[in-house]
Amino acid sequence: MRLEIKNGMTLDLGSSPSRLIDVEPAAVALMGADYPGVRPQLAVAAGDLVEQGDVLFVDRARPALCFTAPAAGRISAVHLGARRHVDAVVIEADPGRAAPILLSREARSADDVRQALLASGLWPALRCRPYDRIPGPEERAAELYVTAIDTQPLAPDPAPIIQARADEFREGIARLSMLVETCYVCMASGADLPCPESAGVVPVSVSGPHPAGLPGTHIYGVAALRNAGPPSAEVWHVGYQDVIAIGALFLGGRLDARRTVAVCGPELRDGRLVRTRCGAVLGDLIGALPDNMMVISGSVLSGREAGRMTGFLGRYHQQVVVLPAAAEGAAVADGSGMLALECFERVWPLGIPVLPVLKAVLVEDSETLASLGATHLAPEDLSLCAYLCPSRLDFGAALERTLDALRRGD
Amino acid sequence: MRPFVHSPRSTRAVQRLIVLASLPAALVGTWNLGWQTLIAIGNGRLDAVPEWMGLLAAAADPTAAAESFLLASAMGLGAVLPLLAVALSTAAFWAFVFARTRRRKVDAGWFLCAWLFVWLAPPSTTLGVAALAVSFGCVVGLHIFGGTGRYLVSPALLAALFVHFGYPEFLASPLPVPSDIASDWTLVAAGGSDLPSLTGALLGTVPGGIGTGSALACLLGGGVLIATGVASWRVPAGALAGLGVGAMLLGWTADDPLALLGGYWHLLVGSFAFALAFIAADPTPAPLLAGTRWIYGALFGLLTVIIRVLDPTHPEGSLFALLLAGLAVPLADHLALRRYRRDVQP
Repeated sequence: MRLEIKNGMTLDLGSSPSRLIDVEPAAVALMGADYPGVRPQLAVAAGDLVEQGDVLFVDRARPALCFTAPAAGRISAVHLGARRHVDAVVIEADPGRAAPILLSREARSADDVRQALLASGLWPALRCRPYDRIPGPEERAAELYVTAIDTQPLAPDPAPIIQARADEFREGIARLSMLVETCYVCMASGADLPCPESAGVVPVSVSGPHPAGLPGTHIYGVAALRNAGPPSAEVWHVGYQDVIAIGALFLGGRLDARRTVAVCGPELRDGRLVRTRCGAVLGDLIGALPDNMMVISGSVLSGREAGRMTGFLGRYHQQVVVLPAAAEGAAVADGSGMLALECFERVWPLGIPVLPVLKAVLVEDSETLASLGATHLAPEDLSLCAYLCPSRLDFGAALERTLDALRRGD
Repeated sequence: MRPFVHSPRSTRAVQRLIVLASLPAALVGTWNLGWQTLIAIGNGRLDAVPEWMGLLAAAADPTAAAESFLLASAMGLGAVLPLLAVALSTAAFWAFVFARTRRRKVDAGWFLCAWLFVWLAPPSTTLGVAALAVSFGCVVGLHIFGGTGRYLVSPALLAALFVHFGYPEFLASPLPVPSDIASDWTLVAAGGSDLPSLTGALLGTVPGGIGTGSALACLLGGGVLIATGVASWRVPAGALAGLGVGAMLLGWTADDPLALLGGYWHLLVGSFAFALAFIAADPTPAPLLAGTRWIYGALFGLLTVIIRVLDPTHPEGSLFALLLAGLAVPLADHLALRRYRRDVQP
């Protein structure tokens, strides 16, 4: 299957780095901000010793959904935010301790795979659309989109990372495809990625400028290729590094929390690829920083700034970007509404009309949003529009509020 | 979720581009205002010209080409600058008042509103009326909707129409410039001796709104706005198609000499080119879909021809046509989206 993206825009912030180094972080953390819609119920307290793979918290509403420690060590802090929301559970890592075996028997059926993912804490690697949330433990979907392409500015190239761990990647896709009817593996055209030959696995070769690498683009693009209109059923998507981790779980029985992230920025002289851990403390990845810099976990388009309590690598992020802090002032909205410019259409590859979608999210008109077939969008899908918006409107946050209203049913 | 990098183009930059693109039309119009006054003085209509203009004309020798150019420019500037100052300060005043009462930032749209109004206004507009019209445009057209990005119809257009409807005598008043586009237009139709030549209408040596005379400068500015991505090419394309089709249909059905004129006359005469290039390019009330951009433009062109030809009381129909087309945009968008939904949902 070929998906050609014509509309879009490649931001040129420099080339992504290729020099690879290993960094074992002194601390790792799980952050509440990574899991919107989850109300954490803590299973540990500050001072506890945990093994890698131990449960740190579960979702209050869905207790089978557990979130596990990416490293062994001692819980050094539990930062609570507003309304007792968990900002971060920080583990002081002890790199000497080996990861325990989590999976003792062969997973044969789809249910075995599901149980193994839930118990190991890898289930939250999956996210479902609509609403871009972690699917419930009992939920089922017909389609899974593996995002094995990254077109974000300064993002690492997925191909070498996947090639280096081809067996795990293949195994991960094979296991995940047991959960769904069709598993679409979306990769850059020309990238020859290992992919199991199976009826349920469809490689999709995606070409074009950003947002060609976003799962939303794949979901809408594949639906359009099948002449199905905007997607309406629940679909799942998962990142390529999580697929590798899932493959490693089923091959070796251990939780693999390794992540390769690109650390760079216009002000950082030596950009590099860093092989580290999920949730690693960002300071260890970056090293010494000049003054007046801000550190962003994730893409410059849709990532989030590292706060004082939350300076850790985000759960779904593949990059860390350092920008001059002065750039922040330019991002303030000037109070104007949306200008209906055609430039939004030129960076919008999806079949649904973009300006009505933007207008609907700004007034939080969830009914119109649903009727346009835009429920499968995530905030990151609107980030190029927010980049271009002359009024500096925050379309991503507006979409999140609108989808929340839709989910609550009002 | 806000991006940490932004395209450098801000709302103010977009509006600045519209102002810059309209600058050639404004300069030609300013000169032409003086030029028309000189013609009026030459025709012995000294009584209707403001006194300082008469004195200035008497002091200089308007027969020398270079001098007459300078004289016309000076007269034009002398008439336009006070108008511009009053319009801008009125708009700034309302922007400030609304920013204070709403405890919000000063809205970015005040300059554009006043600027575009001045060039659409009839040359005989008095300062008091300009202040009233800009107040109407700013308050009713801009601020009560919430400012830039939220209004329904261009506030400059509303202000110009305020003069149009509230003070029709300005349009009919013969001087300081024979600003009545009606007379201009009927001359065209009758093929009279003073028929403005096509080149005159193209270059801007004909009477009309202050800045709307030169169709060439307006279309040039419109081209700049399309090239810089501020305006959509579909609106002007639709408008030209509407003009052509409208003129053709009326030519078949009516035998009025007005109806027999080609569509290109409608493009060159009156405020059409200015409204097309700068008012219809306003990105705030612009249609949301590519298809409705065509409809918006086509309605604008078609209604302009229809009003000009069939309604003798509104000989300069383009501003009114643009108002009607603009008011039809939300409905057109709504219907187009309903069709889209019906198509995509089984």
